Amino acid sequence: MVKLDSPQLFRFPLLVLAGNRALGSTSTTQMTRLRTHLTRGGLLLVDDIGRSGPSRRFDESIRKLIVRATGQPLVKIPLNDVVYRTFYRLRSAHGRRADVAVLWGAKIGKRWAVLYSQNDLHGAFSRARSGGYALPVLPGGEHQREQAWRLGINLVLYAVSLDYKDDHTHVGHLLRRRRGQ
Amino acid sequence: MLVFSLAIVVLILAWSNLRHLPHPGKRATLLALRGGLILALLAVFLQPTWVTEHPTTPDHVVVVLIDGSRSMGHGRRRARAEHIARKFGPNARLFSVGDQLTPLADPTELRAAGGASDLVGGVEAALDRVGVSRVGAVVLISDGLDPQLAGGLSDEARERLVTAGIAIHTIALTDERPVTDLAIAAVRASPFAFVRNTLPVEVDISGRSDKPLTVVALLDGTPVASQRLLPDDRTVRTARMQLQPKSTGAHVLSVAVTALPDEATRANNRVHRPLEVIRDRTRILHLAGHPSWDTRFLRSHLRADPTIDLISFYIMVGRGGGVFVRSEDTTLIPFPTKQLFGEAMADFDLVIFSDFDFAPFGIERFMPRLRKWVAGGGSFLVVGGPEALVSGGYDDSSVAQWLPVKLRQSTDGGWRPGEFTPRLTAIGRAHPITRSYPGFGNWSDLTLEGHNTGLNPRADAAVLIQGPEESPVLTVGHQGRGRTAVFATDSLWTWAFPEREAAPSPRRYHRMLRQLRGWLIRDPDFVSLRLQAETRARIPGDRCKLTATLIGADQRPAAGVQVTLMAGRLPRSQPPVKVATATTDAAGRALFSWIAGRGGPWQLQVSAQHAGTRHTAEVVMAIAEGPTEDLMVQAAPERLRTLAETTGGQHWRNRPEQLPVPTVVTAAPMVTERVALWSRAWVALIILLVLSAEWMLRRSWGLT
Repeated sequence: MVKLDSPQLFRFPLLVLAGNRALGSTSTTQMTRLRTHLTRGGLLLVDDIGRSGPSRRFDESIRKLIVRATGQPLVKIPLNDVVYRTFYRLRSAHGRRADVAVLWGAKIGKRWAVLYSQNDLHGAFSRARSGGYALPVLPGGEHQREQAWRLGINLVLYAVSLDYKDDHTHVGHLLRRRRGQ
Repeated sequence: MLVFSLAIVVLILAWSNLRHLPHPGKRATLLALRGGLILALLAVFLQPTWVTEHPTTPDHVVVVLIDGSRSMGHGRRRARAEHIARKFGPNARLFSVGDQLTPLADPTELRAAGGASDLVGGVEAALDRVGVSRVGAVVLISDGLDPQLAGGLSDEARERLVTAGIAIHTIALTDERPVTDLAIAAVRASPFAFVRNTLPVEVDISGRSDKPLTVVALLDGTPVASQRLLPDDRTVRTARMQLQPKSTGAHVLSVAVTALPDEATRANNRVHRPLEVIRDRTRILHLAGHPSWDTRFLRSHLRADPTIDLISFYIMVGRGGGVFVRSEDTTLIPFPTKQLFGEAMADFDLVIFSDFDFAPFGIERFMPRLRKWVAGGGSFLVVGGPEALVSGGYDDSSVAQWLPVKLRQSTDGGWRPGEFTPRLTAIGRAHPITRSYPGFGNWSDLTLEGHNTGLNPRADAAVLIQGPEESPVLTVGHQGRGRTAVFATDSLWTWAFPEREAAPSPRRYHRMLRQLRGWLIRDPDFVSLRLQAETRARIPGDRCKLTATLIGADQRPAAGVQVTLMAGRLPRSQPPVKVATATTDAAGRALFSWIAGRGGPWQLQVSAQHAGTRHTAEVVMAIAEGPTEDLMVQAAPERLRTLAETTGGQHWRNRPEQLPVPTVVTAAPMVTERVALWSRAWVALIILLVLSAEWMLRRSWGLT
């Protein structure tokens, strides 16, 4: 756990913010530090971990925070974006829940500086003390959990490789493979 | 009218006064004298002037200029010029015109041995010598092979000739039988080209041939493109080719056409021109052992520069593990080892290995090729990390032999984690990669985390940044004509993502990397030894001045260093020969002089041993096959026609026997002469004589 005004903030280029209720107030200093972090190349991954569905209050407060931090509103990330194929080829952005098919995001320059899942990714990954998964994945079961893991891997790889998979060499090769050549 | 009326009245009064004289002879004499007096007085009063006009012709001369350049030696041109000149007779002023004007007493004195013709300059010099006002006509006898007229009469020359107001009549000496000669009449290609970009080249070939011709384009003497031209009736045919220069620098583009067996000269079958090849984009191959913050920031840095073409490959799957999913579910692609390290290798300017243990990917077998590419002028950067250098097994690879650091096993396995503050060395403080600049700030506020160990800098390498226990962090060196560098950490990204919000902006990170890659790819700002030629296009025998400039590792001029100049014709069939050795002065300059050899591209290379490193630099000189005059054979009568038409003269292009000698057209204006009759002394004398005669006659005849 790291706070926005912690000196450790800049040791972590990837920040994860998870919640299911409205965020507390954010000071100007904290907001400036978050903005600096994101502007210099950091990535904020936001996860709505509401148990029964996306939290409206969390959603509202996140959207306000992101506008303040990036100057951009959150937008839906279409399924043809590189985020969905940094490693795995994905057709949805489901987590423990499958309420929203896609991720939301805010860009700084040409890269996504904020990625936002409303499907409780953390819930799909969380383990019980026994070692098994702590929560059931609905409605898709273990297949959906596998897809959630894949999405998680894609998000981490996006953080460290950005649009690498959009390079011409990759696009050309993948198109050829799709055509069966 | 009043004056004339008065004169008549005076004459009538005189008649009235004399009419009573009995002797008619005396009466007529006195009346005549009185009339003469009246006329003389009228002349004084009316001030009449005698005006005459006549042409200036009688004093004017015909100036005959005969082309005396070497091209007049072809066929019977000189003899025919002599024959024609003789027709102008002994009064014509004869001159031979080549690169200078020479008076001729007789046409037989003409020698076709002068340098390149300067026909317009010759005409002007002749007009000066004879005097424009005395020139009745100018006749120019030539084959038209004046290099300065090849592109048409210049506006400046046209204006000068028109202002002189003298018509130039031209007589073109065309050959009775066409001369067999193929020549490269024109080469249309930009003198600048971008490396690896297409350079279109158009070549005009003059002369007829009933056999197919092959036109070849060569770069530094090596054929790079060709085109076959089939026979046709055109006297000028155009070959169109494209070539792609593979390296930057001062090169020579040559164009050659097949030589026929009976050509008048083969010197004009080959043309050499300087070609400056510059870099429009830097092509970088970035291979990363795995995605990481360092590779991500480095890739972002490189991609942000629009002048960079970046090919990057990240190894996405770990060394030991496979991915147990269907390939359709992933976006993994095979690592294209063979393509990258095969033919495509030459297309890159810089290859970067980022924390890359390359052994499992079959790259080791391509290492000799990579080394050769670097030695030939490429550049290679190793960015460290736990999978690079000693910890990446490089010490067992041939790459260890040509990195700027020697690799040795260490107790920590070649990688030591932990934060440290890098320290700039004395060389680093002056080196163009790391020297300070405004806004860089203090090095003590820059931290790195983790560094490679087991590195010993080579004797000819320079350590710019050191880590704990003086371990080299940034080391640069040379490999043949190429450059290499090792950055023994994978945490440089922290400079782009400063930990402290108040820390200087990430521009230090970008600046450092820009300077590092600029030095690696030998951008002009990062070259130690430079060689510059005063002019790169010369003719055989020319004295060429060259300046070599040596900058030391401290970025100051390196004085007192011996620099050796070698010269060799390209393509190299013999080893280059030593031309001279000179010692650099206080400005780090060594001056050389080289006498241009026979036609072709010549590589001039300087080398200097300084601070344990051998530095080299070279230029390629474009030495023409001969003086321009010697390369032109086919007469060019159209140039003379232009000259005649511009000045209002006539143009002939006939056999001498049929040639009408041009009429000397007196274009000079008429001369007007005015003689004021009334002011002459004899008018006063006439008045005095008439008055005296009348007085004496009247006295002798007893008249009052």
